[in-house]
Amino acid sequence: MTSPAHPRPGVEADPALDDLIQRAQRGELPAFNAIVLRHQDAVYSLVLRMLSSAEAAEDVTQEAFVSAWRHIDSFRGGSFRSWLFTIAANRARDELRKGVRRPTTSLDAARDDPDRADLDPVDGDPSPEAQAEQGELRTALEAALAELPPDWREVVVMSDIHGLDYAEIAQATGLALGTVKSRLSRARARLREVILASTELAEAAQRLSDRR
Amino acid sequence: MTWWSRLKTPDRGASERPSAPLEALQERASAYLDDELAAADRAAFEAELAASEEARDQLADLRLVRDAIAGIGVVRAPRSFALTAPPVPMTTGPRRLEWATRAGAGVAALLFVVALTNGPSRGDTPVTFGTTARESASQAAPKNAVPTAADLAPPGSSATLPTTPAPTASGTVTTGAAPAAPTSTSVAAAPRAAAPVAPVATPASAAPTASPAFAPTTPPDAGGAAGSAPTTTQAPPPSLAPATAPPAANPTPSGSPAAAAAPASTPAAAPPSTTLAATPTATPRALVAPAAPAPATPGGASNAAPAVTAAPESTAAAAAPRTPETATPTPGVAGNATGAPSTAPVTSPVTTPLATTQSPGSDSAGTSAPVRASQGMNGVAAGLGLLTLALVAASVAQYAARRRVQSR
Repeated sequence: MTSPAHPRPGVEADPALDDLIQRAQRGELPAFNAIVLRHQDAVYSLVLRMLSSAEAAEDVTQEAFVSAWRHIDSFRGGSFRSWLFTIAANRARDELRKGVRRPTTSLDAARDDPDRADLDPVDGDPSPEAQAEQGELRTALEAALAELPPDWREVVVMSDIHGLDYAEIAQATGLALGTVKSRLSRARARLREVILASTELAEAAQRLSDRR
Repeated sequence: MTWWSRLKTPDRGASERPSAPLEALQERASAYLDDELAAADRAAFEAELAASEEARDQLADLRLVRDAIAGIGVVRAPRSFALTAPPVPMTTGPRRLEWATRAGAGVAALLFVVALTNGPSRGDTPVTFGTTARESASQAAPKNAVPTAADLAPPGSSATLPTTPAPTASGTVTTGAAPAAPTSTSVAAAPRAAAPVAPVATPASAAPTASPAFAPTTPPDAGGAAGSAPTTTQAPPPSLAPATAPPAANPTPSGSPAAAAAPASTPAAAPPSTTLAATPTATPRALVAPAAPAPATPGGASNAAPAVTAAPESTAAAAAPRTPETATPTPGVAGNATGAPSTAPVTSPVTTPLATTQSPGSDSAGTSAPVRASQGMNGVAAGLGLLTLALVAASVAQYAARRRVQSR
């Protein structure tokens, strides 16, 4: 019998965050900026993976935070990250609908650029060997993610990278819970094919999973 | 909750429901992995895991994938997205004002174009003053009339005419092109060329000259006294009457009695004077205008006043240049008007209208209605142009201000 799941990151309560939200709702910009600093990596990462363009991701992320400041009064509790992701995802989808072509960013190639330290994962493995192994796996997964339909990619990124539960994903995307389940399952199945297609990738993924 | 249990509820993912047992198994395994199954479904799936190796393999693969994706990690933001200042909310007021300004600029530009294209062509050729005068002269003069100075003058050389026209004009007068007077064209030409100056210069002598030119406006009794019957029958051009009514009310009477003294003067003189009017002198009308009431007093034909008020400019202005007698007694005035006293006898009547035609915008006292109409159109066009520029500048400023606010 396998245990169902590992603890999902980022869903625990945060009293400090609640206090910041209340102060921001009273119009305190420093409190809101503290919230921004807490969530900007997650928001930018989500938008970047949805748009595959660093330039567009910066613009959309900034617009999302400006919009969040303007509408923070409408936040009535619940998952603030989900609320923030809702704004960011809507902005990103609007950008996708515009069809404006911007230079795409290859996350794997950009990571080799020392000037793009912003593309380093936040919680990378310090071991060089492990980093090289993860780099190869990451390259394959990033490419596989980019090949996913945008709707699937959005759901799998929110769930497996940012740790949102189904209800939060449903709130952020406006989808029904069943749709979230279905899309997530299909996206994982597609990525599974990519990983298992290569023995090296499968072994790397297995070692990574064992460490977790 | 299994996928088939959701069939009764509306679901946007209806098209994405698992279509095969394998996909259904993957979905259950995925939901179980994320701890998203209900208690009953979870118990059922755990039973399935215990019984099915395929279910266990699916679950292991999905865990591998999920952990691998989680290992990709969050990308660091390239910069801080903290807000340096609260974004200023854009109210609808400035946007409405901006759009209103844009719309106003567009309308003003459209009207400006319309005024430019349609304005000058309206009226009887008011823009090209020299040409208008010559054309008017040719229309006013009878076909058998002696060629006037205007006819002899080369196009555009009207400025040279003042030195020579006097004899020509006088000759024309003596020739007596009376039939020209009744024509409305001659009446229209006279006011355009002539200013109310002449009668002012010589109230008594202006009379003879006045008779032909303002003949249309002269009452029948006065016209009969003057012996210029044809002119009395002519009604003043409607366009002239309202425009010139107030100022020349007085000069006209002076012309009426004087008309008797100068029966020889004919409307034919008007065309030459009109053409000669091209001589540039801007001041005369202003100089003589105040004197205009003076000749009014001697006017025996006070009954001519109504007619005069109907077409004051034509009467007063056209009267002056007709005969040399008019100019002779008023050298000083003529000298003032033209700035060349030596040519006073000839030029005083002539140059006075010139001032009118040469400087259409200088004043409106002696300007004919068509000219003033064109002046009005030009003024409107210029005003619209300025308004357009101002509105466009305001719109640009508003747009720049909004962009500045948004960039902050």
